Amino acid sequence: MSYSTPFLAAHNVSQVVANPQATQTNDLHILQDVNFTIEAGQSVAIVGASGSGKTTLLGMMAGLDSPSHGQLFLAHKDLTQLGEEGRAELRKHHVSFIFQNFQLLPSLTALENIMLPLEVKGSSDASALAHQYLNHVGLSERGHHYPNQLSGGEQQRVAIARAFAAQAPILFADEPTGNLDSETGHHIIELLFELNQQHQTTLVLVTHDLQLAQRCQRRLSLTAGKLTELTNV
Amino acid sequence: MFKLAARLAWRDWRGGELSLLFIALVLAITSVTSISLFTHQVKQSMVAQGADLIAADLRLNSSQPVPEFWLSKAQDLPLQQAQVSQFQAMVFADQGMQLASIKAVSKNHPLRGEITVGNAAFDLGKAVKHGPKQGEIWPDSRLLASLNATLNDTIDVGQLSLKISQILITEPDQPSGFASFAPSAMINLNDLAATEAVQTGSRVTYRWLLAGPDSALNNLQKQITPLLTNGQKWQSPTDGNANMAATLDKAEQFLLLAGSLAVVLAGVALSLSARRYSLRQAKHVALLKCLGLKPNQLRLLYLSQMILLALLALLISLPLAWGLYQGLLLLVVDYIQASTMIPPLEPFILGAGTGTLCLLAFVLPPMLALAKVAPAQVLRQSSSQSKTNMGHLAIGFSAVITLVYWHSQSLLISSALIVGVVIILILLALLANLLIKLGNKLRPHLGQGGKIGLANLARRKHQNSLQVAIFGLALMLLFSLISVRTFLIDDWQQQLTKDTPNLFLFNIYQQQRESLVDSMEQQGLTTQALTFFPIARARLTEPKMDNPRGDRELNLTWSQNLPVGNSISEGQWWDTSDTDASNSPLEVSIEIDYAQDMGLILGQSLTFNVAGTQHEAVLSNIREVDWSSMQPNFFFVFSRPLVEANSASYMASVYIAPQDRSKLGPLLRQQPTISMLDVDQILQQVQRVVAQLSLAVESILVMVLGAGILVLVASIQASIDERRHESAILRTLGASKSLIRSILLVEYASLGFVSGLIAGVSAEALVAVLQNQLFQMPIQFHWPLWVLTPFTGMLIIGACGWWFNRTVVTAPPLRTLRQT
Repeated sequence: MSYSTPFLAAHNVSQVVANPQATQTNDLHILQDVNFTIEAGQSVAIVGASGSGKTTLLGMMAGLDSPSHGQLFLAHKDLTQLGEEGRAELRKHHVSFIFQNFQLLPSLTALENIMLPLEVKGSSDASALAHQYLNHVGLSERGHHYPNQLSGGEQQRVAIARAFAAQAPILFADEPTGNLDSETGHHIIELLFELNQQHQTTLVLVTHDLQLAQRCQRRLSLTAGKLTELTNV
Repeated sequence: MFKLAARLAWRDWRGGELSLLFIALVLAITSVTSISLFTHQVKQSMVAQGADLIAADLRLNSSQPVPEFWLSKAQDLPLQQAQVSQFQAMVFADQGMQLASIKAVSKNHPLRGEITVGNAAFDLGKAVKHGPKQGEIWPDSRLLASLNATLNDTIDVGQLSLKISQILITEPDQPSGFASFAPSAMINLNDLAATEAVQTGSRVTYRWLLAGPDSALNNLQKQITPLLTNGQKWQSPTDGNANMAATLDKAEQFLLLAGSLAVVLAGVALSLSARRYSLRQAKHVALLKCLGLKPNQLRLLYLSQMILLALLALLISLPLAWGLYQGLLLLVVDYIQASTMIPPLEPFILGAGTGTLCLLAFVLPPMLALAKVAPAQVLRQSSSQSKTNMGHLAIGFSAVITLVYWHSQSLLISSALIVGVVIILILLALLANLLIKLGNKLRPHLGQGGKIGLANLARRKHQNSLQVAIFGLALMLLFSLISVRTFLIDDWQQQLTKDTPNLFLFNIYQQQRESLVDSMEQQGLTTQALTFFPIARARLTEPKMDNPRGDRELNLTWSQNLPVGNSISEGQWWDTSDTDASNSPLEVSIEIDYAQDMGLILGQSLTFNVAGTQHEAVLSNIREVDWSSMQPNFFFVFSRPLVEANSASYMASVYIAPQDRSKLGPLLRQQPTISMLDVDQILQQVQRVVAQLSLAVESILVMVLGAGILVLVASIQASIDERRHESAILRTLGASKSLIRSILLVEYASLGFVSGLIAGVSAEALVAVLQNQLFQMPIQFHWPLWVLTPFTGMLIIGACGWWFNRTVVTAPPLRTLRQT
């Protein structure tokens, strides 16, 4: 299948927010003329210090937020031409997430959390698939436990199972080890890359951990809202 | 989408997220439905008791016989009918004769209520359904005593001899006024012609009694009313008895007020729970949006959830309301005439409608607004902040107005309640803000827990002001309702003390007064409470009045002292040292309604015709009279006698205990010229109604208290997440459980104190308005309330706060921090 529009890209993307404390001249430029193109199946790390705009960029790439200027492409669609409904539809079929703070629903068991994206898609075998992915992440015994009964590492495993169970072609991961100790973080990353390899997912990973970034095929650095490609880290 | 909504709702339910919202909804529907069912039943029971008083559901009083074709019209409808002809005739026995009021009744009489008959005069009697058979007569105790006759004797009415087969003790349509003093007897209507007592020109009162479904009665009444002539008038059960009607009216107002308060409280509780639920759902929504749910799908999802919730709530609440109502009926089974009919649909519609409207107005707007949550919120660590949405407030407020009006059908209750609530909410918020600031000044003098507790209060000043306003509102409504209940029941019970007179004696002349007292003492009857009132009939002749009431003869008396239970509303009572002086001008005191109807003003000179003599008097004061008391009351009271002392007639009232009733027969024989009016049955009926209404009022109060407590809980729950988070941080910083506990106690007890103080003052104002406007009673202030309410508020809110926040103290801080 050939497309005239890129798979995942940003063209001159800027994000400006009004400074609530001051006049318009002091607006905050979170992103400035960001440009990149990502091919399907690539793994890309976006690195940068805290407050550099990494998470904002990730949110925009996934269609969770809109830029002030510029164009964004997701699964060959121009996100800036889509309304909220259209962006949601795109996410349903093409995007999965892993968050730094896990974002498991506290009133749902581990298994139900994994089933959730499948149920949203209207999948008929949500339960079987969820069990399968729970096995993948090594938590088959903990399916009926609630998030507050799981450790941080276990919660992130559930979040990874949820992300892959959705079987979306693009996976956005926002600091997936940010809330974990280094050893647990290491295990989680191993699991993430292993599953990514198996599913041939396009992975966009936001991190400030350069060692983790090294495991991706490409690395983009964000400093004070400006993006540059790192060729030699 | 519906399946997903059901699954998510079930999981939220299981996790306890929806429970408070659900309980609030169930309570709203249950309380409104059961209160409405109960009010409906009380009204039905009252109407039934009223129907007993007129022996029918509808009665036509006529001075001429009821035309045959009217009777056949009623026959064509599903109605029962009976006829009564009442006239006065001489009755003869072997040992005496007496002018008596004879009531000739058809075989169906009475259609409602029971006749009680006995074997001896003033017997307690037993109930029977129908009147005497042909050839029989049932004289009442007074007639039996004055004729010196006994059971099975024969007495003559006109040309007909009739056998005394029973003694008439009570009858359902016994007159309650003082008009009919004569002894009476009941005969069969088929014997009337044979007595030949009714001839052309005889004064006969005809009564046409009807009973059956309202629709048929209304239909007949509509057809007959245009044909009525002068001297023909319908009488309905509610026209039966003035003092009972006043009592019932107040009770109904109370029940409607209580029901409306339950609606307001349930609305507030629902609104608070919905707000909390929607706040907690914000992150869920952001995540669901990340997973690809569209805003419209989210709206549909929450709408489906709310429909499910409403259906489940209805499924539980309506049977629960029915059960609660049955429980209430069991409680009042001795007093309320339980209805055998199918339960009315209206209370269920009202309850279901209230629940649905509450859900639409209070819960749905914040739920639907969730679709606007930015999906990027999942990427942020911060928790959702509560913001007051003025649009949602306006929708909720409009719904409250609609609901209160729908429930009460009273513009006065609705507007008083709504305006009161708005003013009080604003005042509460302002005052709370001020008092929280004052609390800051206390901080340096307190222990560690007190310092942090008050600092917390000050830090969350706006949120706490709102919470105080809500606590205060709930407490104010509860205090008001308790006060209203107390003054209503007190007022009713004051009307009917144990020794309320149940016997009125008439036609007592000056010289008989002493011999009457002697006779009573001889019979062993108490004369302590025997009070004599001089009595005469008078008509106001000058100025001339257009009002037909001005042309009627009314009772008058004269007295140096203001009659007991009366109060002066304008002018002054006369100077008692002058009243003996025959040259001082004659003064008159007039009952307020009469004075207003006639447009009479203080200082006006009035002329009265008393027994053919004109008397000119100055209107020196206007009196309020409590007609609901069972005391002798008069429209006109004069400052000095209008009739010569020796020819004056007196009336007296006295209480006769049940065990002394058999002594009345011999007393009447000793004093044959004195007439007697026995109001014991009416009094017992009023006492039954008062007992029944008091119990009903108290039962409803308990239900509204439940709604009030729910508001408190919902309000506490609304801020519990924040408090839990703060406590977890404090505990990780080394604060002990006891310190956290004392912080919470100080915080909630202070909120309770401030809320209670403001609620007490506001309740006093609201109760004063209700007493004055709704219940037409004098305003009373309850000073102890001002002292009691702050401490009650402190106790209730402190206890609720401590109880519902106990997990804040006991939950492991790490788990709490992980969850937030």
